[in-house]
Amino acid sequence: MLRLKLALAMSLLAAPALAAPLNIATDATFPPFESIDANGKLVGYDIELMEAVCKAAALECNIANAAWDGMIPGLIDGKYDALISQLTVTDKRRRVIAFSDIYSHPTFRFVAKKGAGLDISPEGLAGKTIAVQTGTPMDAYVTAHYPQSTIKRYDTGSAPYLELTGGRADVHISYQAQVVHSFLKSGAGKDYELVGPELTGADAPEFGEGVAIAIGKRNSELVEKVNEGLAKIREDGTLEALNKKYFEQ
Amino acid sequence: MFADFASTILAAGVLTLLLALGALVLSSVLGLVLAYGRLSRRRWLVRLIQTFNFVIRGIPDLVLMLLVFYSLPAAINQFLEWSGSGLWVEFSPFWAGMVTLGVIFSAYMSETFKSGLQNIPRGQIEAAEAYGLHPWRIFWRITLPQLARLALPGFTNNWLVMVKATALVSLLGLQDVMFRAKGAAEATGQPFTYYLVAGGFYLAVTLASTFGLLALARQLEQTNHAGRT
Amino acid sequence: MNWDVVIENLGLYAEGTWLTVRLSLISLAIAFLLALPLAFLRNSRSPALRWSVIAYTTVFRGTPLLVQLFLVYFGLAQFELLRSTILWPWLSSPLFCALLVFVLNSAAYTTEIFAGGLRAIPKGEIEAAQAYGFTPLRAAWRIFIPGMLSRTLPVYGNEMIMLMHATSLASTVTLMEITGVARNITLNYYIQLEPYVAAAIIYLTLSAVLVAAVQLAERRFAGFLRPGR
Repeated sequence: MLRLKLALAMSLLAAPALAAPLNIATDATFPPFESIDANGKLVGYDIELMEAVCKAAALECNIANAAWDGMIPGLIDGKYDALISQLTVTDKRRRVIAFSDIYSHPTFRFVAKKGAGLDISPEGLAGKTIAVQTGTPMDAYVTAHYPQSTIKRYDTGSAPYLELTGGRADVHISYQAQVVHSFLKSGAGKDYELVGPELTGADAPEFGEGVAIAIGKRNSELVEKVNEGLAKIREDGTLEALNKKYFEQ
Repeated sequence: MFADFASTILAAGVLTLLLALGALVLSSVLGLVLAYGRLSRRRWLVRLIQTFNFVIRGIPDLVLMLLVFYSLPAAINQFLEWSGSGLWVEFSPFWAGMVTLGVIFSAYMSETFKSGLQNIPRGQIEAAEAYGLHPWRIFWRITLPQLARLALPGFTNNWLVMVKATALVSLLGLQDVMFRAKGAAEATGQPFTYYLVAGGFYLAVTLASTFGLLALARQLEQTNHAGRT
Repeated sequence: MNWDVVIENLGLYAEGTWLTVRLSLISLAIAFLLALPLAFLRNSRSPALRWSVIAYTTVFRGTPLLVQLFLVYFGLAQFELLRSTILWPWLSSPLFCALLVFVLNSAAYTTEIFAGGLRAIPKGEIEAAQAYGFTPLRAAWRIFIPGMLSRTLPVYGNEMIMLMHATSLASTVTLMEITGVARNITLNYYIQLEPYVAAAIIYLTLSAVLVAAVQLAERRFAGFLRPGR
């Protein structure tokens, strides 16, 4: 009898939860894609994209900042319903989480001080320090291909830049658009330049297939809805307008 | 620009203080319960609480927070999944931080309260019981006033440590003072400036608390003596 | 359950543990040596000396260790001037920065603990030392320091454990000690329960060893202070 009561109570608790807005997490340390502005608000390309997708798919979304540490595990555990954070689709990740359709194909690039004359290759960077954000495709790439370099890992997307300008790292590798728009164009990055080859998923499997919205594996319904939303914003030009707004070259 | 960032950092101070105060209340209530449990005659209870204290005080605050914020929901959800129900739990960083700090510091508070309770003359309690006073009354009228005075130094110390420990919750993604300072530092490339602002905030809180609680201590001393004839 | 991941990475955990132990022991040793003279200065008759020490301990005990760590590691790198001095090779190393901060932080607490211990030395001992014509240095070395150490052993033992716990924060500045290893595993294998539980177990073991060592020292050196003799 008690068990029945407990079950009823629990199901009552679950019911409102099903109607609640979606919990979407982002690691807001990655301008111009996601960051927190001077007034504490979440801003960025990905934020606007997600809001547009939710509107198009008639979903109620609540985007919040989360620590990078806990994002993918949180999605797996059901703490979050989706993640939007320039997440690259890789085989490793596909094993544990699901992805929406790909909405962007980023290029990756190294950045170093102007005139540093570094040879961007495993031999050239032997003994040098490469800064990356932990657990990102860039981290996987340098870990696999640059065994002779010292790799320093940081838990946010912007800390490596601080280390670069602080002189603790020789190079940093990240999404080219991010390097250009948040670092090189800012005051801090004026003495720095892009170096090395433009890398994509075609060059190394670690760089994955493209960027998509991550969704819990069991939530196939949400994947469909999000894909619908993405298709809509592609059709009606919202995506293009967003690209123009942020990345007008 | 500095003014914007600095004011955002300090505005988060409200959140930090709320977190700390919530944790203080939780740890005090829990600590008192644990203290009484420690003084109980039931050996198994004493052992249980001693084990709890040992575990809490043997693991760093950061690791405990990571455990409660990440591992605990993961464990609960794994269990729920295995048991076949469709539920899940989530803890926002604010509540996870407050609960973790509350639980951690309840262990320290219980030690403080235990020694305080032990220093209240047993005769007073016995006399009150002989007069037929209700246990709640005894607690409210006799135990608590004296406990407050005896435990105040330890209580103050625990509060100060707790305020500083709230900085760790920023590592869980809570947008408190430390988190905002980190954001400002990374956005402007001026970490020294903004961490100094954050440090200034915490120093102000600890200084204010120290003086405030010192004044309270003096007040309690006076009240105690005033009652004597 | 994903314990196999933890087992695969036991080597990393072992390396991390070794780093934790080194960080703790080196910081403790240097902080201890720093705190000894500072404790005497803290009780000095000269207000200038006394208040300088008080300012130092107040700032370092009144702000979170995380803030201090970020100020030194990220903050100091902001200054171009500093980067061109000979100090830079030291300050650019996260290990050096972490040690520096742990030492300064622990020394602040230890100074206050030792200063309190010195104040608790019975006046009779001080007078006896003077009567015997001990030079101040001799008196300090032979009488006061041993007296202070045996009295402050329990509280100082606690501070030692706190320092060992504090080393978990080194993970926020790229050092791969126990907590850093655990966080790294969560980020690469997407699991959250097992790595942190493993880390917690290691810390518990280290804490237990430290507590046992302190209790042994207490019995050996401070036995005369135990009640009920």
